[in-house]
Amino acid sequence: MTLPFRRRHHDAESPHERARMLGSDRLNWPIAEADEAWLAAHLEGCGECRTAIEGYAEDRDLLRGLRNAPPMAPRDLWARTAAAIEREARRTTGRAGRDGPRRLRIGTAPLGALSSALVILFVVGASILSQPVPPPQATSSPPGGSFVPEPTPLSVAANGLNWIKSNADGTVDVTVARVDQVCPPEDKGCAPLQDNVLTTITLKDEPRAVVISPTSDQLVVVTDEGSSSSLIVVPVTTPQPSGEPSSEPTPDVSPSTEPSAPPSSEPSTSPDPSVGPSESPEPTPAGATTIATGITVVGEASYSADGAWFAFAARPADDSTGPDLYVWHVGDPSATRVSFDERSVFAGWAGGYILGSRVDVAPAIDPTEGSPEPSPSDTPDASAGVEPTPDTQPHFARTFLVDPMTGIATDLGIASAWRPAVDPLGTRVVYWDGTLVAGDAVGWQLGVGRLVLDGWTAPAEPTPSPSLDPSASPEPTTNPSIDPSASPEPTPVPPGPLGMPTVLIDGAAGIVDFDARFDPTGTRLAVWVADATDPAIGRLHLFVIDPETGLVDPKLAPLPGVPALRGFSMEHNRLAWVTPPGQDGKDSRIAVLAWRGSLFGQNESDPQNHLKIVR
Amino acid sequence: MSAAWDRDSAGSFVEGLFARHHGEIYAYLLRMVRDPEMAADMTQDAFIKAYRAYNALEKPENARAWLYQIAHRVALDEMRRRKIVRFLPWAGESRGSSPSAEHLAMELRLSGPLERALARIPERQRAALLLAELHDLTGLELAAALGVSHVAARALLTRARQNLREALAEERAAGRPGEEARDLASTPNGGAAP
Repeated sequence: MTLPFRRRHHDAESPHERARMLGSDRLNWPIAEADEAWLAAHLEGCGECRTAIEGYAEDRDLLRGLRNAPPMAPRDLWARTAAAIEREARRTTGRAGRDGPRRLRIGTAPLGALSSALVILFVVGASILSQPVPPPQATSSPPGGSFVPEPTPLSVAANGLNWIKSNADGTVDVTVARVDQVCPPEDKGCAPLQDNVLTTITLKDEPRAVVISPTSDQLVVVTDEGSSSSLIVVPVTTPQPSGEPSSEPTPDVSPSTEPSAPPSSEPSTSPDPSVGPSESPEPTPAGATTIATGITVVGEASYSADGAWFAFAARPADDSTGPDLYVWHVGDPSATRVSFDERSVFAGWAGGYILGSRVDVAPAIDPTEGSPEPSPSDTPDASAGVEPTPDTQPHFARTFLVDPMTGIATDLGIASAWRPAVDPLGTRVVYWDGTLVAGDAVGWQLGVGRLVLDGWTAPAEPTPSPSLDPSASPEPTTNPSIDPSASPEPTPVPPGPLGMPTVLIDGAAGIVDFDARFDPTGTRLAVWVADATDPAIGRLHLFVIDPETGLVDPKLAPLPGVPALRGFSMEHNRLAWVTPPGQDGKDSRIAVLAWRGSLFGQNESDPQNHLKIVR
Repeated sequence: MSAAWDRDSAGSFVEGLFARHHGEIYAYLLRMVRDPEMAADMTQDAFIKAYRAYNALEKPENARAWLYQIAHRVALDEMRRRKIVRFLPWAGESRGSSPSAEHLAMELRLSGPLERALARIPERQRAALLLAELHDLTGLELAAALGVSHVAARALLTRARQNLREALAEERAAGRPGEEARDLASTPNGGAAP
């Protein structure tokens, strides 16, 4: 059907629709005088339209506020685009079949020299990106300026990282740095990691370790005073997004400027060497809380995934006994001891459970000959005055789970699995598959064995975490007779390693210590193995797990073993560590390996002294 | 005009176009799809399409609007192809792990009521608002970029303002705006008029 005449565009509009369209139009563009007059007249008598148009103006201001936070395009975008255009050019050339394949020319430079051209363009792009979205008049401006060529980085969506560095004035900076670009391993031209101070804490001595909570709102600082350690919780009140300098003064929390209380003179008679604030020599200022002191922390410590709990292992500062497990419920005044056998260490978190390893006192027996039954002597004998007999026998380990809320332990039985590390999905586990030998009076060392990857059967999740209200906190120590060997409720498939290990690192050459952690996807596994002569230094490996088979992908070895200090950080899409000082004659650096799919790249901080990874 | 000449000119032209506009094109696409990696892929795709369609550009002075038109089509095609509805998680967000301080800050900055309200209005309306208010396209450029008449572009922009106003009011009224918005996002049209 053909209309007999052409309609004007607002013939079918109601006056209100027309008024609102004109009101919308004039926010961006001038409108005709006649329309302006008509609109003014309409608004005189139409409060609803007036309110609507005023609202448009308010929202417009809000929208324009987004210009203050322009998104940053990936730095390798031009490289990707140019490569795709080159492919396109080759494809069309091949189709034409006349000129033969040749490289696309971009501008006056042949594409063979594309990398430098790309870099220049990339820098131009970056300069554009650093500004709000340009207005139209800026678009005619040609790119200009002089630029320093850089390698093409790989953009990654990796979690930022935190580390600490000690200052000359005795303070310690906790810093944060973005990891959004890395360079291929053969390139060393990536701009160094730029860190910004998250908070500054004042300590008497350099901390042994700092652990940040999952929500970045508090730190647990492990400090050493002689042979005695203290664990101090320091709130982080103003976390700064990485990449942006802090404009706020950093808080001086001075959590521990005085020596900790001396350890108990009779620790062996004390069932719990952990102490709360009541035994701290001074109240800690500015919200800092001492949750344990008079102890020596053994191994690694970490928050649960939900940030509600913090677990670690420790022994009395006087080394009178071996280590036990402790857990601190965030908000409580002090940590609580949850094992009492004096030979348990913290292995990690398995879902909502604390995963522990305990040395079995019975000598190891070849599993093919049958597992020894737990004997009454498995119960620790704390009788004083008995000279311990030197133990030269190899031992196996028991793995157990502790529900942090109830303190109830579930023994997973004897196995040659020491310090298992379970992936966040609860399907794979890494552990020391071998024996342990007594190292000194209270310590244990790795014996004969290997580091293996195995399947894992996850236990049912414990009951939900309680309220963070300390008054609502459970008191697992009210029942000191927690028996780690108590039998759990029967389950169809018992939790624990599946018992089908594959070797990650053979221990034939001797492994004295290790640390293993998965990334959040469970497809990347970092393993650090200590050097036999200096256990503070080791080699760090990254394995790629094939999600289909659950085994290490032999085709990918992005980090086959680099020198690294003890303590690394495994997070989403990246692994970070501290290089040992003396590499290239320089101080330590924070190094990061990050990935996007199967592409890997690295970057480093500038050399600095006394660096430690926080996360 | 030989094919070889076209390729070289197209390459040179796209090079300049990229240098001047890739940041704003990426920003536009990111605000459309809320996924940095997808936005980067689409930006790349837009410039490749510009390279292919170089000969179709009649007036170089219209190159910017022409580029936005290409980017807009790429966005709509991709969103339809990938069946994106309303709410996509940020690709950079850590899944299954604890968020870092920077991610928390980024989430706060990028997922305020305004961003959520924007994400709830229909794609074409969102595009009209973004192009008019953040990218300063003129009325004719907006129409060209959206591939509609001038009158239709104005009408689209007006409806976008109205729907944004309603979505913002709901976001502000909701006690837990994020969840509220996700609930609405699961309904056809995300609760907004087409």
